[in-house]
Amino acid sequence: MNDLNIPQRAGFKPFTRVVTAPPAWPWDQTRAARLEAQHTSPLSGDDVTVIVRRLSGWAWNEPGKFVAIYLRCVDLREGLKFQVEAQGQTLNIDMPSRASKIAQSRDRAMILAFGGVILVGLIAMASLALHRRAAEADQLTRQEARMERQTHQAERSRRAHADALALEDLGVRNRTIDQAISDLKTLSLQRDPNARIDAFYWNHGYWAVEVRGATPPVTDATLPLRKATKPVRRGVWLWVSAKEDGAGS
Amino acid sequence: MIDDFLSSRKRPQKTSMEVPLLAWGVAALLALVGLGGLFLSRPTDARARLAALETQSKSIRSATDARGDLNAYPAGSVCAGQIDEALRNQLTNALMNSGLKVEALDIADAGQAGDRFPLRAYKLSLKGSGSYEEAMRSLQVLRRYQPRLFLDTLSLRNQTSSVDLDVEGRLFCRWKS
Repeated sequence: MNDLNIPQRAGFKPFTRVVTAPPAWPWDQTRAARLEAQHTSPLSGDDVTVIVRRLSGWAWNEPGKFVAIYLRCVDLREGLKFQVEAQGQTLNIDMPSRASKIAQSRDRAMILAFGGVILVGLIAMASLALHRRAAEADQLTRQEARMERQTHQAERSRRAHADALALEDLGVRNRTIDQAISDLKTLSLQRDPNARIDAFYWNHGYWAVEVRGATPPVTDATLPLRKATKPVRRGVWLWVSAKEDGAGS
Repeated sequence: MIDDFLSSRKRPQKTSMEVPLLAWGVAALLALVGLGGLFLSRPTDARARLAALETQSKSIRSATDARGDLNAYPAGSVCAGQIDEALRNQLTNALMNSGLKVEALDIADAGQAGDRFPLRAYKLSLKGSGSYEEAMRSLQVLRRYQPRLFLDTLSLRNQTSSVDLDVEGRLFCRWKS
């Protein structure tokens, strides 16, 4: 501390005067007050330090009231701290030393850096959250579309199974054109070339043929055909398939 | 300039509680943002949509347990609704294209088939004549027709230069789903 500015020193009473700045923005008022204080300084010389402090709060379109404190032979690099009275107010003047200013700047930079890191973190979290939300919504949409298709397929399958069950209940198994064509093919393959077949009948899974003459219409003796006891017409006999597995009902 | 402005205001006194309060504030803010992120990371209707998917999944699983022999009665054996004019015309045209001379083709509503299932029967009767090959082609037409024709009787009679084909069978339609 400078000898002249030891706060505890008795009789330490710097020269002060009130300066008024016209209505303006606060920083303009402060600059104007500082200029005014320097230009109208009652002290001259290079060793005069002028400190300006606001006395009243800033208000729109109101002049600002400042106090100018004049100090001589003060080395501000070492810091200065004292109290001064002006217009009935006690002002605490604290002019930090160079080291304090550096420390303050460092603290501010760290706080700013910390704040920046937090801000970047928050933005990243929000971005990740929104990205994940979009991805999840997209995945849900795809799952819903797939499930919709599967539901339709399942519904078709369920109906087909229900229909199959109902048809089975009606006893129409093997009552198909396929079955009749298959029986006709079997007859064609086993047919005796000399046999004269007048008609082929298929009835509820059984088949029969009308044949001219009493000889069997097929060459393969393993094909079970039963001859009717009486001819259906003169010289025409009915041969009925005796298979047991082809009958539907 | 900002310093000047700030200095124009009354500065709060620094206390030893300032740093811990700031730390608490940051922690609270992070927790809040974390919770907000968790909330934001899921679509608002995700729960309802997942529940709907689960319901659909159960429904699909139950469908796979359904009984019924699809080998004997493949899908399409039964029509939905009823045999309408379009289906009749489709069959008539296909039979005509087979070359068979169609003398009569009738599809008549025979009422409900059985008591247990919602099936409606339609009785089909076809009379036609032509060569053996034409008769076989017409049988192939009937074989491919959907709904499937369940055959009751079929007769193929030899005439001097042609065959007579008589077919009687039933078609089934599901009259309610």
